[in-house]
Parts: sequence; C-alpha cells; structure tokens
Amino acid sequence: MWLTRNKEKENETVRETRDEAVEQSEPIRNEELSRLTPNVDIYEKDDVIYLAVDMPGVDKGAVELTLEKNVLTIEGRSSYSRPEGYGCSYAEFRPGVYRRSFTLNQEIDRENIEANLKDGVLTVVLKRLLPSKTKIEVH
Amino acid sequence: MTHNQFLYSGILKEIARLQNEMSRVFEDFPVEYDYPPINIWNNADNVLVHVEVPGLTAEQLDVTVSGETLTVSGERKAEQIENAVWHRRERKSGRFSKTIRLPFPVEADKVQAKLEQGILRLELPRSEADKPRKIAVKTA
Repeated sequence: MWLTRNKEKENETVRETRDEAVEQSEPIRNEELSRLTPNVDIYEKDDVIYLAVDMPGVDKGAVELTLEKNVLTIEGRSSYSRPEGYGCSYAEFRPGVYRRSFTLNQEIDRENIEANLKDGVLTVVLKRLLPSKTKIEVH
Repeated sequence: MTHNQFLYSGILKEIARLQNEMSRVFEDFPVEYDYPPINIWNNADNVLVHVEVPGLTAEQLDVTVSGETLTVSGERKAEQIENAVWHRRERKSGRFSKTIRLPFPVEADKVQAKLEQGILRLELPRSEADKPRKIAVKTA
C-alpha cells in the first residue's frame, strides 16, 4: 500500500524506506532482541516537520539517528528486561530494538536535524530548507 | 579447570539459561490485545504489572485496584496543532481502559506505581490474608 503510494508521491518530503536491504547487511548485534516497528506520527507546521516515534523502555543513551545519503534511520534499544526474582505470567510486549527508516527529499536541511526523547517518545525535528533569498538587482 | 575458567563457564551457563527463559517467555504472543500492552510478573509475595504508555504523564493515568482486579485507564490526547498538515498518524489516541485479573488478591493501599520511559510499573503486594501460612507442628 505504502509502496504504491510512494510512487505516486515521489516528491513527498519524508517517506518511509523499506529497509530489507539494510536489515540483511546490518543484523542486530544481539540476536536475542526482537526487531520492533515503532508507531510514528508525522506532521508539518510552518516549514518544520515533526516525527513522533513511540519507543517505550528506551533510555536517552540508547537512541541512534543516522543519516546515510538521504535515508534517515532511527534506532532505539529498549532496556526493558525481566525483573529479577519474578516469573512471567502474561506478556503482551517484549524488549527489543525499535527501528524505522525514512527517505528525506532535497528540501530537508540535513545539517539541522534535532531529536529529543521524553516519556518514551522520540521527537525528531526536520526543517525545510528555505529558498535562498538572493535579490537580483534589476538595472 | 582453574577457578576462573570454572566461574566463567558457570556464568555462560547462567546467561544461556536466562536467554532460554526470556525467549520462552516472549515467544508466544497474543496477536491481538487491547491497548495498552501489559506484562504481568509474579513471585509468591508480589505481582508486577508493566504497561506501555509512551507519551503519557502520571496525571493522564488512573490506576484502581480492588481485590484481584486491576484497572488501568487514561486518555492519550492526540496532538492538536493548529494549521498542521498530517502526513502519517499511527500512534493511538483517545480514552482507554483495561482491566485484568491478578494472580492473587493484593493490598490495595500498598500498591506502588512509577512511570519511567513510557512504561508504567506497578508493584502490588499479595494480601496478607491470601498468603500461605506456616503451621507450627507441636511435638507432644
């Protein structure tokens, strides 16, 4: 669904990158951890694009953002673990590595990407490059 | 085998055992569940309930306990930003309420709750009345 939509929206500022190729070349270092796909909200206001990524259980130090060419990869390692001295009687969530990749188009300022983690939500701030205002003098 | 080597192989065995336990614990997952996702851990004296609530503050959460029943409810407000253009909306929002049955009755007034990194961690001590009691055997 999203892939077909991508084709139609080639010039979208931020679009998801299917990272099968990345997954194969770069396996999770600790194979015991599951790969988790975090839920993401993307919205835009006043030439700033915000990505809100749910990453419960992730510490500030365990988040990594990498920009390779035009692909922004967000990775967060959950520190959630089995409490010592307890057995599990029921489980709906598990520890793992949250990961998602997005392709940024040329309009995004790659030098000014900000990220902030609060209450298990990572907010990534992407700014649109504003067209340079070079005044052309008319003589 | 030197003492160190022995210690090392012991640690490796322990790690392997823990990994096995973890993968067993996290292997069988319910495909569907009500929001928010919950994990329950217990031993003879306590039950721990962990709830994934990223983005929620303590004020937005409500926890009620009665005997063996625990209810976690709250509201995850959708970001209301004026003049914002939405490109993608996957994070759940709205009111939620989830009730679970605990493995044993708990002391409602001794429940501890903390919220860290978007995970609500509840510690509920087993009710004294429910704890197994040791009966002293008198000798004649």
